Amino acid sequence: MARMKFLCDAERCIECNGCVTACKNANEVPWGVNRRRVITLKDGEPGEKSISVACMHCTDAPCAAVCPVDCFYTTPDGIVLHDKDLCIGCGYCFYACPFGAPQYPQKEAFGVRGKMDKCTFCAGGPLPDNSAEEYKKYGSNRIAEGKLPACAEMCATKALLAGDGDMVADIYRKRITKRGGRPKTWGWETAYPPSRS
Amino acid sequence: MYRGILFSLLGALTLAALGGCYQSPDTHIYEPGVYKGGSDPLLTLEKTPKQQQRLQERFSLIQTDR
Repeated sequence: MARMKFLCDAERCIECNGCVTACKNANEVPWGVNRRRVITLKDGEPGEKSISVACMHCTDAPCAAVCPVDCFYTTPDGIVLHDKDLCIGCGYCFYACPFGAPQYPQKEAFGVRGKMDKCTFCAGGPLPDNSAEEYKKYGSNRIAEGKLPACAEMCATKALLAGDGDMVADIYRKRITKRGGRPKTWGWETAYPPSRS
Repeated sequence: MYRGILFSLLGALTLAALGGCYQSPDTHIYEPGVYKGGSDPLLTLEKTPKQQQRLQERFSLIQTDR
């Protein structure tokens, strides 16, 4: 059984925001909600790098662990989804998520939160596949159509990879071997430089 | 005699009305950490080898380096 994962190759990401646009377009995400964002590190400095971030569909998802109404479930392919009919919009999952993936549409005045919305790996939700209700509530279900997430398929530089974790890792490993190293924008040496310790 | 019937009818109605206000004292306890939402047909679809093959073919077609 495949284990679906995202991987963003920072050496290839050119901060075009094509993935963000593709996600918005494919899922008709409401105004104010971004299921995917491009983060730039060292912006304007030498060594600037960008990475595309969304729900990482964690194997042991902290959002699911803290949900008081247990509205999260994981598919056999490892995609973390949730039921919006059960969600109470409490925001616990937002605090638990290390990637800031859960988003809340502002429904009323005074910042009242609506139901949580997040990346579904283009796999919809707990409704009949590719039905009008599923599209309205969760967005498109490309996985049921045998397709991969729109963000990764639209990536012009193939920086964003989505699919079976083993296959994604194989591609990335080959790239690393060809380049002869990993980016130094983050990692142990960046967090704890030798000069500080 | 009619008064007796009327009183007994009123009594029965009062009992029925009060009975409608009854609330079960039993607490419904949910099992923590167990998904309680609706079923997703994708879960059964994903287990089929055909679907797995479709996704693998799609990955090889779209995601691999040119």
